[in-house]
Amino acid sequence: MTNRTLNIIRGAWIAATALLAAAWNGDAWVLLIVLPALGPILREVAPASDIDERQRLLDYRASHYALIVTYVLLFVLFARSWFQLKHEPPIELWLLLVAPLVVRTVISVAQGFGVRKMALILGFVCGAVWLAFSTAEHPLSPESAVGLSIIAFTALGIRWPRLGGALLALDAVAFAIFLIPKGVQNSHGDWVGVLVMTLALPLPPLLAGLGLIGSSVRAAKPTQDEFGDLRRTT
Amino acid sequence: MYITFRLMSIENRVRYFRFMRGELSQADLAGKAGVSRQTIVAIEKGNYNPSVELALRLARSLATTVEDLFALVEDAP
Repeated sequence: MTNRTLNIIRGAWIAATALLAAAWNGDAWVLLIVLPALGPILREVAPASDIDERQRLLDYRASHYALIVTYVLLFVLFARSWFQLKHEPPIELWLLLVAPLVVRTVISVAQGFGVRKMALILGFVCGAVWLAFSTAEHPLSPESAVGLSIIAFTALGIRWPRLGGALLALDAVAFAIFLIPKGVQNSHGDWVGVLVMTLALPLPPLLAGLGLIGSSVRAAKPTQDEFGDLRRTT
Repeated sequence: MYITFRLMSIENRVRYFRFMRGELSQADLAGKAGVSRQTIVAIEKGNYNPSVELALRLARSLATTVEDLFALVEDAP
């Protein structure tokens, strides 16, 4: 993808937003907030072919500094909430704080220890957190079974990664099918917030399951080096 | 086991080799190596260390070797 293509996509996005705002509702202007992230997201899919490695590095650095600024602002908002307004910060702020940390940790672990270990850590941590919160709220409730099942399927994935991974993914899908309609029904109008929360909950077990399956499939492929596949002796 | 890192920096002779190749312009070298002119400026000033791939492309464009173009020098303590 070239910068020109990217600018055409950006222009089309702005035009589509303006049309939507004129034809439907002024609230459609909210779509413009996505605009600064559109370039970095598209470049992850199709790297810009008309910029060189130094320009790409500068691009990454700019995004890195943007993240730092976001975190500084988050710190100010948290401090304001606790010390000035004297109340608990809203759930959106917590989500903004936790989501980048989780993404960063998951990517670091996957790159440092491999996808298999990342999937196992994600499964165990997500199951343990789920179990801790559900047990703290209602001891031995059906919600605790969800956390236990995530831990059990992850443990199964140590010996049988494809089976454990498939069960984790199925667990996540079943979880989403069960949670989303129920959540939206009880949302009291805040269906966007409930939808985000209900999508965020099955995502870690789904990622863990897909990671286990993916690493197992990759490990099954013969490895090649400069001498060819060393496992073939003939 | 302890790993000691000594402070090293990379010196380059891109400007010298441009001169040696008939005062090849930065824009021409950039075109040959497939990068922007600003990247050549940054490399010459020592503000940017190129990747192995770009170092090889620069060396090929200037008809020299990477070792002649770039050198690792120990910084004074």
